[in-house]
Amino acid sequence: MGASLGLASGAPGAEAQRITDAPAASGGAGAIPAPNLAAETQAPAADTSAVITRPGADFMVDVLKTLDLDYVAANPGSTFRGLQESLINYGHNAKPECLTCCHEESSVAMAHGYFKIAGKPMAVMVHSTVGVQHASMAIYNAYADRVPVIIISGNALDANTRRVPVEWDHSVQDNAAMVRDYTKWDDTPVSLQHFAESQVRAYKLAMALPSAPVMITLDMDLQENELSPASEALLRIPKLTLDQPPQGDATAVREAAKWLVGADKPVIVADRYARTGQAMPLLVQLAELLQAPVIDTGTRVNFPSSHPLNHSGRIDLIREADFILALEPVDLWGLTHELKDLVGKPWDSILAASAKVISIGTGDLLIKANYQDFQRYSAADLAITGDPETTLPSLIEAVQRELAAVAGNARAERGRALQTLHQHARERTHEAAAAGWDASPISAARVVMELWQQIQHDDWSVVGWPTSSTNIWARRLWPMDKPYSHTGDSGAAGVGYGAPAAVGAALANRDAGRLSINFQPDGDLLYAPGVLWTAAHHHIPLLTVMFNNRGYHQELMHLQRMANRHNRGIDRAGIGTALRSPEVDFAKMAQSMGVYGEGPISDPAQLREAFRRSLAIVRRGEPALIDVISQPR
Amino acid sequence: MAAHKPWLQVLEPLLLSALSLTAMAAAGPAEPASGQALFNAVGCWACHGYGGQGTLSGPQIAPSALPLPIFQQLLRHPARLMPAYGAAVLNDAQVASLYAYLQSRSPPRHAADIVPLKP
Repeated sequence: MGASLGLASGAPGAEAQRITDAPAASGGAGAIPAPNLAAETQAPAADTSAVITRPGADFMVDVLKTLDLDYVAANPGSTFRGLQESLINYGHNAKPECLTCCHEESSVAMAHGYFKIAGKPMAVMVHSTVGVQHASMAIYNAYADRVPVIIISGNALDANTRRVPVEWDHSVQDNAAMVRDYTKWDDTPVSLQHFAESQVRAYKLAMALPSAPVMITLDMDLQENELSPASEALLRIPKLTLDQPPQGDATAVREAAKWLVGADKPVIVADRYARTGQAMPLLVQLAELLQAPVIDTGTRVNFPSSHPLNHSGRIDLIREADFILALEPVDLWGLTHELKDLVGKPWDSILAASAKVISIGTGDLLIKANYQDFQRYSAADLAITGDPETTLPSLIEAVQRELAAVAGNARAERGRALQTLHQHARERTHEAAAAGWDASPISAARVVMELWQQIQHDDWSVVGWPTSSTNIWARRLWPMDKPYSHTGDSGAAGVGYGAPAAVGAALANRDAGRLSINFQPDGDLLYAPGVLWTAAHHHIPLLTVMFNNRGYHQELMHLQRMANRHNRGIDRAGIGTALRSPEVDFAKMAQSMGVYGEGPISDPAQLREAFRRSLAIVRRGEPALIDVISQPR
Repeated sequence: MAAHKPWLQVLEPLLLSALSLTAMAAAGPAEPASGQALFNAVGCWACHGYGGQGTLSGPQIAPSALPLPIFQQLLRHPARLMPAYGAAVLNDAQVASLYAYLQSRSPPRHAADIVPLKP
């Protein structure tokens, strides 16, 4: 029982226990009305109506099976009980297969992580009202990350057939209203034909660029009532045809090629660029043609980290550039400006006065007013609306034509210099990794490289929360050269994303035969740790390595900044931010949910054997967790 | 709008700080042990690591490559995002103890000496 009360359950859950602990139904202030008590604690009355042999939900399953959905994640809720029953019995629990989740936020975040690896959406079923409320943060993350999720929610629309009392609490006039600001489209079908068309449309729109979550609300009666043969004969399941991605305007692309070929110091910034396996080779081809450095922001795996033209993180190149090509930029203003978190919030452009910016992206095709994930306004000098991955072949052709008319070896010299700088940067990174190598608590770089010794010959994938220190060090030290090397950004940095997104991505990696590594922050896992049980229950192999600094460390540093700014000392910054007294035992938490757990480990010398043991579990197809007590960052 | 501090504004108090520290040094040596307690109490570890070795949020400061006057000046008036430590939070003598602790720490190992980090 999650957000939903156990309406049809004979076994009372925690919520029912709370009710029965209240004063007796017969008297006293706060007494629970007898019908309410019965609804929560007693088995439902025998159904005396005729048996329904072909519920409407069976047809809904027929529709869903046309959409190439492998999984549907859900925390159970009575408003979609009809559909769930049809999925597991009529649909034989296959394509889609039901995944049991312990929180709606986990369901959606699993779907988010799954898409990052599988490249196709997962469906999610959520209870009306309370289930949608639980799911909302994860939906916002997916929306901000432009990731499609097919959300199906139940609802009891007809007041005449709602059971009292809780079904009234869990009914709503406009179920999608709460998440409409951060979903692409929604509908509440009132007939099965309406459902078929809206569900197929929802899938199509979710996948059309820019991708985003969509939501269909299913009336309970529509799911549960009989579908007569005569009515069914009239139903049609529409064909799904996905939209071809939009390509940038040909004239503008030719102009961009002229600018880039004529540049002395061009820089390519790849942000939310890569969508498919074709993206990386295309960008390598363009960068090598231009001998231009590429800054990969890491929101996707855009450019091989070991390529000599990879200069990610080098803001100095942005400052010196004369032409910048930004591919699907999430935050063009932030790319070209600096705002300091100091008193007065001073900011300025970091660009040279004569620098020009070209953007290719779809950001303006999906923008809403309320939530501010669209970032600060900034105009490129040449803004091309289109999918950059789809546009790059024509840009490459145009660049090749321009280059045919260019003499000299300036590009080759630029390339050689960049290769040297790439090598120097790599050496500096390794020196930085050596700092605190023997420290206890254990340094993030030590954790990452001890693990690397044992997985470097595997087909691996780093999944989960993108900004844990261990995740960042892995991206610096491991070769991120494949589209699935890591799962990129969370979208809106809503904490609680990491653990379930890792499980969802690991599910997709399992199906592809890959090893999944999750560098897991402690604070993130504490939001909804039940996803560990989901991983164990569904035999999803995943090595979770805790980055356990025993605190909400980012927030601790914010408090330090405020306290020192107010000249009050920072010795109390741990209040409200530290996760100590008591310390969480994550190994025991994992064990309690059927996951192999080991730790806490604070001696770096113990890492090697701990990794060996846990990897043996994961390679057998099960999840494992190692709790590593970590340096603060 | 941008409001950058001119370099001269940074250098001037630096010289004054150097003079005051020279006077303080004459009063007696700073203790690394008390400096370590300060390191933990005032939160240096949060960005620079429990041993001052440096993390993703702050550079290595143990041992510090800076002379004490410049170290103190940067504590009082950080150039970038580090929280400023005024004299009400860390007085000059405490800064000297903190510095003594940092200088007592061993320098970091080199990547070439660590098997997993060797090229």
